[in-house]
Amino acid sequence: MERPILKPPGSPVEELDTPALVIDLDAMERNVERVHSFFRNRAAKLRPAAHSHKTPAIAHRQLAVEGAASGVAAVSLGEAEAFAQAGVGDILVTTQIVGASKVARACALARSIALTLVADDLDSVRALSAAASGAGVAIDVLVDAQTHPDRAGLRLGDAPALARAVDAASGLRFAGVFTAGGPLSERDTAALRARDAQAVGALLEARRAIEAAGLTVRVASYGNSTHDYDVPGSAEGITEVRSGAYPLLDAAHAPHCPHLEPAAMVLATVNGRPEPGRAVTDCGQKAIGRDAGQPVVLGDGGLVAAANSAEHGLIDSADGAELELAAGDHVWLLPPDVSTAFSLHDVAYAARGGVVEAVWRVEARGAFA
Amino acid sequence: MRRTPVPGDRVEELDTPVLLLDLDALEHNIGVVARRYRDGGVQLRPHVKNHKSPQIAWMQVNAGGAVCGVCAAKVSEAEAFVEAGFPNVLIANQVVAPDKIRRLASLAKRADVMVTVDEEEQVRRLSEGAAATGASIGVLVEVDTMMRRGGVRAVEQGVALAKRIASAPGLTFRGVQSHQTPETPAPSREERFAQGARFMGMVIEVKRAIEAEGLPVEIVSTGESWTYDVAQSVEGVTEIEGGTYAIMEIPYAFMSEFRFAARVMGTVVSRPSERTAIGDVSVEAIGAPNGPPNVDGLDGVRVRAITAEATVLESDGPMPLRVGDRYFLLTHQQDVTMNRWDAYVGVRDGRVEAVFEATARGRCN
Repeated sequence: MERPILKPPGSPVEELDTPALVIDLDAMERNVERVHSFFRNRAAKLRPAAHSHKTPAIAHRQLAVEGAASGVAAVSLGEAEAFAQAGVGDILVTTQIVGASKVARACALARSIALTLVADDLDSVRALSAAASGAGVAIDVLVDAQTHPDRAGLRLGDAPALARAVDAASGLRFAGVFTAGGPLSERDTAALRARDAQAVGALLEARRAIEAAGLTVRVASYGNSTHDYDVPGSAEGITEVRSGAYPLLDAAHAPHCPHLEPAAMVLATVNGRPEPGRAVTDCGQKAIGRDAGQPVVLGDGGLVAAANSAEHGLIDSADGAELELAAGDHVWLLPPDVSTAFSLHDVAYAARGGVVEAVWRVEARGAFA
Repeated sequence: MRRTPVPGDRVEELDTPVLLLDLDALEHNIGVVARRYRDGGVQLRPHVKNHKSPQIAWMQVNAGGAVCGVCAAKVSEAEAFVEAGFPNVLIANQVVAPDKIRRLASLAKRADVMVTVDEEEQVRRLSEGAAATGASIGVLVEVDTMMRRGGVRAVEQGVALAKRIASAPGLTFRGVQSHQTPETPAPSREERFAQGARFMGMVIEVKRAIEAEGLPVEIVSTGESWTYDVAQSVEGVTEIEGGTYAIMEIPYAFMSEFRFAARVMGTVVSRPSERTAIGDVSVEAIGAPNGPPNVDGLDGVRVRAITAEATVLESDGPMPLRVGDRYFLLTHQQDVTMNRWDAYVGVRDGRVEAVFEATARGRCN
């Protein structure tokens, strides 16, 4: 990892080798405070979806701010292992664990942390139970209820039967119910909120059905909620809300979150201006991601960014006028999707007032399995 | 913790998602280009942004018909490949930051290092950096042929820039360079040859104009995998920057002599409805800037969506995949996919044969 590109704390951000992923710590702290304060006097707590940054240094800062749950959510077992190694003691893995090798890894992880898994399939529950009881560990399990067609999860009516099976399985503890809202496919914030309110209602229905079957539901976890965490957060019966993008934001979430600030951006350098109205930068897809759309140029108005190439970024003037940008100039870009941007960088520079305060490793980057 | 795949492991026992490299297909692809170029004329310059692996680049060079060097997109990539022993690297991109130019000059003392330019300010900065360290950096003029990205837009511009390079301390003028994707998707062979010859002709025109001013043009580095055979019929081209052919991707299927060498293997973790399966390959594990990946080898099953958490698979009839089953995805943009992985698992006949470290992964600077 000792590479000439790395700059130490104390360096001005403008001296970073580009493209560089930079966090505005003041903005991040304000975002965390704004969201966590909502949860402070409520039954529901905020469980950071750490997948959005994959960076333990950020997760620890989130967990230290009142309003947070006692741990994080991870998408993969590999991510959970990385966060456990970095000292996070309570992790919910939001993907079903399937296959002997992964089940064995989950049991090993459950020895060192409070591990919660999700399940929607009886055979998978049986395999997990056999391995957990064989290993002498106890794993909390949430029953995954489907509330969106592009997600995993059981039909609501089937949830009580699986909950009973989990409850009766040795090595497993039935802990509650789980779901996530759909993607940010709607442009209209109100439509997204209505969709999520309906999904929250469905999760609570599953909760009530399971309770009616005589089981205790400790946890009702709702996710994908940066854009409207207050919807599940204020619903009675929801115990935790999983949100990932809220500390850092990105171009996809920003229109839905006017009270939050962009806090993660990529510093890019203009390599040339081959046409009066077009500049080429060093920030292409491989430095900022394009899976969720194009980046946004921060600051100066009237510039349109595109990461159309893997290695080059393009900046055009919106009206075709001559750009003032020249070779060597810097531009700041807001990633389309913060999670993808973090998956492309080994480190993020945490800066305050334009000076690097810390260099954080994106520890769980690439931990897809 | 995840067990690192070991040679001899059966593919179906690997933890997923995992990026598999079909070694038969990779060797086949490398062989197709090497056989064509072995007899001289045009040479291959492997583009390493596509796979980020010195081991694969050496396979490409050692197969024959190639320059003893590579093409890179970034200074940090070039550093990785000089470190891996390549004596010659062409960075097909502009470099302007003073720190990066210092690194470039340092590399140029250990290898034949070249970079491309498209405006005078870049030449001024490179010359200043090279002269300060006593290094000699090779410089090529990049020519835009239709991409409207980097590159000079007019012949006279290219000539003026070449002269400026030739007279700049610390720099050596080496030639001209261009990169071009197909004008239309999935061109026929005739269309490929017509388009390829026209695009390469634009670079050759700049080369001739520079030579007419008395400057020798040593290198004409152009083309891509889709014009590797066209280049042999265009007089003056010295090398082709080929990358995609080794790994392959869906939009390149029209190049039917090449085989898909990379697949991301996933596992079905949920079967929420009769025609839907949820798999564990997230969008980050494959990248989908040009649309969702394709499912390989399962008729009637396709990717309906790929999210930050999962693959959503759907089928025409009842879903044949059950929880625990493996599935294989083909990418639409191989270099973006390869760049998401620290290592690739090389497989043959259903077993792991070698693990390739993606040494230059993440080197976007």
